Amino acid sequence: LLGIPLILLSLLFPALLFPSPGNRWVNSRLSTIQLWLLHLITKQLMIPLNKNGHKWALMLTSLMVMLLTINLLGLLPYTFTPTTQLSMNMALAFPLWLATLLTGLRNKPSASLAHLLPEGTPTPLIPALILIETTSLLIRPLALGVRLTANLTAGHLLIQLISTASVALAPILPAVSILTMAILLLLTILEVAVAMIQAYVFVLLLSLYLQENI
Amino acid sequence: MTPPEGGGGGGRDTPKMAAQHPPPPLPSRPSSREPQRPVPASPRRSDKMAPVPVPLKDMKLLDVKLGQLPTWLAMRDFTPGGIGGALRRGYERYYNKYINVKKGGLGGISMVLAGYIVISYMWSYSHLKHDRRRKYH
Repeated sequence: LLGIPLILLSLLFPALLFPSPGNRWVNSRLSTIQLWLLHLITKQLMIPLNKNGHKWALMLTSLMVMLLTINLLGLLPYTFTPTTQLSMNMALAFPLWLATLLTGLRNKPSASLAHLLPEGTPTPLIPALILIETTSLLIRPLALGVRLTANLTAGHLLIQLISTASVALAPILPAVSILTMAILLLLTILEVAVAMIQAYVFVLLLSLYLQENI
Repeated sequence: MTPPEGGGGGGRDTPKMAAQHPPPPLPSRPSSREPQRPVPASPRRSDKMAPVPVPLKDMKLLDVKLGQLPTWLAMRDFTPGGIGGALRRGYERYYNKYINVKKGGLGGISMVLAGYIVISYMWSYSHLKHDRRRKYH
């Protein structure tokens, strides 16, 4: 439409869904639910972190809420899900992971390097294990981004394929079409769960990387 | 004897009427400014008066006559600030009517989501119209 891509609308729209609560004792139901959810998320994220980690509260909580909203909105018909684009997920994962790494290296360099070697490894295994741990460290941003992309894209793709199949089968073999629709129902429930879980996993892993390093 | 007032028409009564009839008890139904029964004419500004003259550009859309419509449109504020103000007013109207209420329901946010679906469909229509007669999607 007018040459503007749909991703712009789908990125800006979630801002409309979260009104800032007014200056009242009892807010509207929407505000109450959102505040409760925000409180739950912040509490869960901030408990394992130390005092320095609390500076990341706004970043992690808003990331979680944004991913949750974008993933769930993508399940509506004809909408666009920005998190299916690898570019966007890498743009989210890479700088945040790098920030956790650099924070650790800057503030506690020896401790963050010591994470490369788990405790109690037998001595001959040490060189191999350091290589393995370094690889696993360097692959974390890639894994974060690709995990989110792949899960969402695969879910959307499955829904599209199975719904096309059931629509195409309906005039020919209605019984099979009904079976397929049952599969579609289960898949949709799975998709809703996956949408929420993926957001959670993303932020959880980030906070984990943060705990080690801050 | 004029019949007693029902509900809370008390604020608009002239002092003579207030002296004649005892003030009404606490209303058992939500008070409205208009009386429930016809009362003798008293000088109050009801909807039978002629509309107050207002400059054209400030009139509400529903009050503008059809012939005045192009002039009214031309005189509206189309600066970025004006458009922003109009969007803000529309948003506040919707928000205060459907969402910012004590017992708001599912409908308030469902309308927003339905509008989002419709706008997404319109936005991607040029891409979707090729799917109509396609054999393999």
